[in-house]
Amino acid sequence: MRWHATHGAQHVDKSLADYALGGLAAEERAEVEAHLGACPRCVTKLAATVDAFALLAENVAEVEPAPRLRSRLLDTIALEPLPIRSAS
Amino acid sequence: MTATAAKTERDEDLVMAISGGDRQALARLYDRYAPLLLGVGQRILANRREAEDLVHDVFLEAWRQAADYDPRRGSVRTWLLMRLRSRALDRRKSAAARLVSNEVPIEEDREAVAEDPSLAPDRAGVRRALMQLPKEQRTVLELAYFEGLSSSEIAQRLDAPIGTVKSRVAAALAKLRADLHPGGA
Repeated sequence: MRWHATHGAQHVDKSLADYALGGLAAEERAEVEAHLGACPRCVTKLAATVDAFALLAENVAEVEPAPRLRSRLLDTIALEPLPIRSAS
Repeated sequence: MTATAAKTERDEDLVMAISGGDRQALARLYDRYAPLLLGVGQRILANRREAEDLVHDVFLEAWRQAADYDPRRGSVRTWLLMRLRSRALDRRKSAAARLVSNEVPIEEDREAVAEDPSLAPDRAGVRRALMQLPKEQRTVLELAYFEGLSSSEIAQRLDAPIGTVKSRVAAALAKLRADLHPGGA
């Protein structure tokens, strides 16, 4: 088992798949999030994991939405306030 | 907007434009991903009307929260898919709670996908890689992704040790990555 070089926290590889899909209980999720906040290596691994899961969607047939769905969305957005930019 | 410009625009740039209040950018992101999201929504919910509502909500959320998108945590495509999936599973759970015996059948749409000549080559490659996974590996991925089961729930469903389930998920994801990005990380 490898340990984080600077924080002494254990890498969270074994929990990443469940974390990526929202399958962890609150306590374990908080532990994983705390680790991710301090470990770029595990953030990269998480990104690879969620992208790999998203590949499953490629096995699903796309469905062309009806044009009214697009107009409904754009009508809704037209009434929405502009998004709030995060402080940069 | 020309067709060429629309095609060369990166997803990340669209999200950046959306976070700056560009409504046309949202429309272009919608045109790019709505069919995929609607397909996946229908697969999870087995209901077109509900899937359409979800797709609407996901793009509305994307409009409101575009500034939260963090490319280090995955692609835009993944960001949208994950939002859709989590909302779809929430709906499915509340529907299941209302109607305990409601078993949503897994659609057998794979043959239809295989025969679609409009499939982009990379998409066909992904599909091939998925179909080459050992069946027990593909099953755990599908239960996790489309049914929202955790490793422990999958372990119960399959009557297998949780360690075995976690190993299968990890092996399947690693194999997909290796097949699709040979030589990559």
